[in-house]
Amino acid sequence: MTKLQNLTKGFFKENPIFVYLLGMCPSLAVTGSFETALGMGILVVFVLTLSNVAISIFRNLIPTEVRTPAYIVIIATFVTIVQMLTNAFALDLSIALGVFIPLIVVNCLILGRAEAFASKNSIIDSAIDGFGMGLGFTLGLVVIGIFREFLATGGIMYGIYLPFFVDAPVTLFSLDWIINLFATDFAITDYGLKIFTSPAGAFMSIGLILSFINFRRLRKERKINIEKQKMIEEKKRIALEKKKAKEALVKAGAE
Amino acid sequence: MLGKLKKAFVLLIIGVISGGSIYLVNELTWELIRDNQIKLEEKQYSVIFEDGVNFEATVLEGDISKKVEVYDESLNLLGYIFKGTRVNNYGRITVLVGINVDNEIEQVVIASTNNTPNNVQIIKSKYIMNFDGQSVNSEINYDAKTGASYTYASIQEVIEDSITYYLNEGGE
Repeated sequence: MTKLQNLTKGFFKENPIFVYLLGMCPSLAVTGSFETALGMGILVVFVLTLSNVAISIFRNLIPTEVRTPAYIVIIATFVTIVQMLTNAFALDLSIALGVFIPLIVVNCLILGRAEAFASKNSIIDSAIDGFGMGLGFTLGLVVIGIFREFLATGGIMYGIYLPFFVDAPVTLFSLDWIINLFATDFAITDYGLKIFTSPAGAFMSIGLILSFINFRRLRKERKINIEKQKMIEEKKRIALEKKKAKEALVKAGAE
Repeated sequence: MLGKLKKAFVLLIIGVISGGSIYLVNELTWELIRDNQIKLEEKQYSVIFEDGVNFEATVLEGDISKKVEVYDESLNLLGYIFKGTRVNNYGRITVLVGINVDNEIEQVVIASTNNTPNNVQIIKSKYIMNFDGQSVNSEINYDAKTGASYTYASIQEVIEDSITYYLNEGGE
C-alpha cells in the first residue's frame, strides 16, 4: 500500500462510519449541527493521529499482555489534553460537546486503529493512517451533520461554536433566498423538520444515508456483474464460433 | 520475575510521560480555562438577574460553595445567587439558584454538568423554569416524575440548601 492509498483509504473505501460502523456514539450524539460534527471530527483527528504515533513509538516496548491498558492510558492522555485545549480556546464547542469529549477515550475507532495498525507499523505510516482515518471519520460526521441541520433548519450555520476565521455566526447556505424570490417574509426555519435535531432524527439520518450508500454500492456491483456476465457470454460465443470454424475447417480438409 | 518488572517499568514510563504531558498542557492552559469559567459564570449571573451589573462574590464552606450579591446600575440590591455542586451517578453538577429581595426564586441555572446534553436540555426547558417565581417561604413544588432522575434530584438538593442558607443567614 502506497502512502497516498494509506491516507485516502479512510475517506470512502474504509470509511469508519459508513463502512465499518465504528464510532457510532458521537455519530449519533453530536451531529445535530454541521459545526458540532466538524468540531468533534477535528478533536478525533488530533487524538487519533497522536495516539497512533505514540503507540507506534512504544510498540516494541509494550508487553503484549498489558497492551490494551497501555493503549487506553496513551489515548486518555491525548483526550485529556484535547479537552483542556478545547476548554481554553473553544469553550462554546466544549459546552456543546459536553461529555462526548471525554468519551473519545472509548471510541472504538481509536482503539481499533491502535490495535490493528499502529501496533504493527512504522511511525510515519501510523501517523498517516491516523490522520487519514480521522479525516474519513470527520467526513462521515460532517455529512450526517449537514444532512440533519439542513433538514431541521433549512440552512447551514458556522461560527456559533468554532471561533475560527469568523467574528460572528454566518449562514453558509440557506434555502430562504430561493424561496424569497417567489414569496416574501418566508422563513425556512419555521418549516424545518425538528425531529432531525433529536436522537431519533440521528438514527433516521444515519439509516437514510447508509441505505443510500448501500443502494449505490449494490447498483454498482450489479452493473459490474452484468458486465462480467456479458463478457463471459461474449467469450463463450467467440469460443463457440471458433470451435465451429475449426470443425468446418477440419470437415473441409477431410473432403 | 524480571518479565513482570519489565512490564511494570514500561507501564510506569508510559504513566510518567502521560502525567508529564498533561501537567505541561495544564500549565499552559489553566489561566485561560479559569478566565473562561469566570466569564461563563458571570454570563450566567446576568441570565438569572437581567438587570444585574455588579456582582460581589463570597466563597463559603459547606453545601453552598459561593454566595453572590447582585446589584443593578444604581447599586440597588436585586438579590442573591447561591452556587452548589453535587456529585451523582453522572458525575459533577453545578447549580446556581437566584433568590430576589422579594423572597422569590428568580431563576435556577445548571452551570455545568456531565450528563448527556439532550437529557439536560429536557430538564432545563421543561422543568427548571417552573421554579421561577416560587416563594421561598412556602413549600417548593418539585416535579414528582422528574424527581426520579439523578440530575433533577441534585438540583432539588441545591435549591433546598440555598433556601435554607438564605432563610437562616438572610443572605448575610
